[in-house]
Amino acid sequence: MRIEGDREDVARGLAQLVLTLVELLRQLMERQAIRRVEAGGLGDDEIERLGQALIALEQRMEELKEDFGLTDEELNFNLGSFENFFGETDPKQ
Amino acid sequence: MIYAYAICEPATAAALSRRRGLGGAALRALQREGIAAVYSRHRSLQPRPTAKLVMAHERVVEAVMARGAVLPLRFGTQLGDEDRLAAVLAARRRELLHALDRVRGHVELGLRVIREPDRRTDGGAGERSGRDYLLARVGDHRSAELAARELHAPLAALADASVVRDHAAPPDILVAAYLVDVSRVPDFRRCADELAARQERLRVLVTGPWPPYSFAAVERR
Repeated sequence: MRIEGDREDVARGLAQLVLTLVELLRQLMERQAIRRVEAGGLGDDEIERLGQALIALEQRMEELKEDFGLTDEELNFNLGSFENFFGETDPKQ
Repeated sequence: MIYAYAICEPATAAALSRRRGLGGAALRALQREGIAAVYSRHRSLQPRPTAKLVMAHERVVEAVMARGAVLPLRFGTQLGDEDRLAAVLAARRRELLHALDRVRGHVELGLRVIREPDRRTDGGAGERSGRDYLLARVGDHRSAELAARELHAPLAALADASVVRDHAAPPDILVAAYLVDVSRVPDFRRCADELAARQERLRVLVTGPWPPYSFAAVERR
């Protein structure tokens, strides 16, 4: 029983790590699309297509989060806070 | 082959003789007309930015900073020999002296403004068009960027110089560095805390004090 429990924890931890990376990539793609819109020069068709792609990405991400029972907080836990990796660099935080 | 860590004043460099650099190499100082470079000699060195080597570099720079004005060199700065290093010091003497004056008594503080994940109140993408969706994201991004800029301005006013990085990567919305007089560091932190408390969707992270990497301006152009 205990081993099963551990195995579940490991699987969940792995899913959390992978989905955190996927979410970071999703945000990068969204930021890239925003920059392209702001730079101008995109046609209506391109804007529509980019938007659809981002909608699909977000929906897929929602499904994955639901499948693995993970919340936004759990995925963003490490995003943007390097002190989690290098605890000693910023003791003030 | 020599590896250089930082530029400083001769008296500062002289106080470092017992410290070690990359791979435990002895630290040396080279002086030319009121300017010194801190370096170590290596038979061969291909410094990859591993955590261990980067920390070794950083420790040397911080040791210099603890003793006087420092112009930190970027990780991986290598030259053929002492003559080359001396030539750089001589050729850029005035510029280096000026830069040392500028950073004396100052530290670098970093700012990261991070966007909290969106709490979509519109029930997600639903049946909206791709265009509506994308333009809504552009609007969100702009307002977050504006809010971040409002955080930056009062902090920049407390600093002697500041740099806003181009294109912060998500989830950051703004990344900046400030050259702050040591005596004003507590004011800077207090100001950042107060500004952060007024923001609902932005998280504010002040890092440092760092050696003034962003204000050394002694990289080879």
